Amino acid sequence: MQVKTDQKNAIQEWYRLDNAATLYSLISSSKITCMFRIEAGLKYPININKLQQALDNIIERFPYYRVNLQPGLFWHFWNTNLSKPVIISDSDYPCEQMPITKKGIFPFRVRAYKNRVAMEFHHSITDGTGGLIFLKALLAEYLRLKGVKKARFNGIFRPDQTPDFSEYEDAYKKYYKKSIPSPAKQAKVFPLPFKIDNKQPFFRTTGIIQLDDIKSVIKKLNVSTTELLAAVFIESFQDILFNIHGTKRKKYLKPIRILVPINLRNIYSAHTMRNFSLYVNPEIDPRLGRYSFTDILKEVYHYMRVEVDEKYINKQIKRNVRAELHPLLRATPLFIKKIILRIATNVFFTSVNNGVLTNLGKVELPSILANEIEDFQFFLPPSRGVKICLALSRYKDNIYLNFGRIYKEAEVEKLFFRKLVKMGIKVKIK
Amino acid sequence: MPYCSQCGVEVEEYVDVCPLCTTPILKNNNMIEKKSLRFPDKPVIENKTGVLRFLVWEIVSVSLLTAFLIVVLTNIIVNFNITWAWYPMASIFMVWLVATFPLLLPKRPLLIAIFSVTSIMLFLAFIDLIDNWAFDWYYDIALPIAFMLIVVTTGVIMLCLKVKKKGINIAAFILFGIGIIVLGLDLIICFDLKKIINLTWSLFVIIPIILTAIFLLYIHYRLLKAVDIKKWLQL
Repeated sequence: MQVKTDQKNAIQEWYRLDNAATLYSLISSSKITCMFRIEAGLKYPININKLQQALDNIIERFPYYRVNLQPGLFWHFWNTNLSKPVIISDSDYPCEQMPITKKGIFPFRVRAYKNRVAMEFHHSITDGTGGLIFLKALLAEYLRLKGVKKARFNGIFRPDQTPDFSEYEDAYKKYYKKSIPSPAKQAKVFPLPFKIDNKQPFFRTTGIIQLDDIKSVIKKLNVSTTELLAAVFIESFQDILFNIHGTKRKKYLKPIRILVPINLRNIYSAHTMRNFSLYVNPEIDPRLGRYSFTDILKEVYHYMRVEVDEKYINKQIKRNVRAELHPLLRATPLFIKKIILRIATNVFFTSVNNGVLTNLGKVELPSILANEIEDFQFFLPPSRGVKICLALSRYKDNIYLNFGRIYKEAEVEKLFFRKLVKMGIKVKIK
Repeated sequence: MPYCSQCGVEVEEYVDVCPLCTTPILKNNNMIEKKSLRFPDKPVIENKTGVLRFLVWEIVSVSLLTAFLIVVLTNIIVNFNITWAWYPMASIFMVWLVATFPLLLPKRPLLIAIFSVTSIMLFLAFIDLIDNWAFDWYYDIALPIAFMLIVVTTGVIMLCLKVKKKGINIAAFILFGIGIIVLGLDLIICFDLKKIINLTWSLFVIIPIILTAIFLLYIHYRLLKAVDIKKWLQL
């Protein structure tokens, strides 16, 4: 990996993609955009000039994001992009496909409208954790330029800092263990009986719940917020399955599985600003009979406690990195890799999950900044690979639940939110 | 704050129905009716197809005009008159017309078809007229062949559009179309030369074409019924 250290004298450098980025760069298309979005609502309307200035300042702190994806003979690679990213207007079409290999394109967009700032990242550059750190740094710099007195905050990156080498690293390869086995293959899941709406890229529904409401429920059930919401999510799919009557249901009777991305930085004590997350897949098998909510919660609770563990995650890292290092794949030209991987993704990946539930976690800001920012939301666009996405973020006293779906029917959200209401959790739909 | 009586969730004041279950929302008189825009409704990736299409038309036009002028000037320099150049001039003009309609009239397939067919018919008539300013083969050969091509192409397109399950049956329809055209060509040419209706060389072409088309239809309607390739490949 080539590392640019002198920020002031930026040199045209390049570096390899991390393991997850390799996959995302190859499968990225209009149907699977591989984008995600983090947005913040400020108290007052955004001053675009100041925000642009803040972006120009802060991008120096993130040299690994100041890049452009270039195609090589066998793989893509990141090339330092010496141009400046420009703030663009926000749109009702979030997370549109990014022409990621176009010359001069940054793998992220900064968008602003009225009092909202949003950052949309291509997943090949970083994951939610890296994206959140960047957005927080951008907002801190913007508010500093706007006159917020205190210039330094703990845990927030500043333009005058020098990036640490550990921020550049491909942590997947660092923790790759050649000798351990790969995880077992997964069975196909219950296909939702809805038609994909081809006229609109996706539909978005935002639900806001009060932290106190959910706290009392999770305390009573002795589970985490992610576990509770994952169980409700799975039960919503189960309800759809058991609402199919007669012999027709037999055709659909397959496991229900969701993907829950895990931030591996906490498990491995890594500090990379590139991708370092993997999925765990809590599931139920309705072929064994209908599960009660308590049963589902029990399954999710124990599954998460067993699987979110270094040993099990190592197996996934082994599988993914080994595939990348396979001599045959390495020797295959990039354009052939793209074709093969896109077909493989369409054939295998689209039927191994019912949805994704991703939790950005608690967004913490120093109080002086938090006073200026009203909400923090996370959004993952659905695709042919993951047809229903639920992205959570916790900020101040609220939890923001952003649903994205490619189906016209809002059946999953309806069942999901109704269940929360029944538990005594007030839901506000935006 | 209004809420949905079915879902129990709170909704925005400006919505008329629940975003989850479409149940009408009961409102008080003092509630806001209009939604304030959260985003400017403008996609990032702008539609540049129109501009690109015009650019392509411009490049095609300039290229063909260059070829047109080269042909005309060469003929004038060599023969001091326009003689043989009528043929390439007419051809270039016809190519320009046929390229212009789809590029400048997108999404108007009927108009494109009418203009293109008219251009080709006029071109053929002109080519026939050039040598002795009389129609020698236009009515006997060109017109029936063109008429047959139009009817068969329209039929195949209509069939392809109308059929519910599209797959290799489309290839079969096209093959049937080619078969009919081959048959028609043979009949028209044979009638023009010998003044008798007879099938000669076309049989050798039609038989394999028809058999292949039937085989494709069999594959499509019989075998693929059991396996949905499109679904299997998630195309």
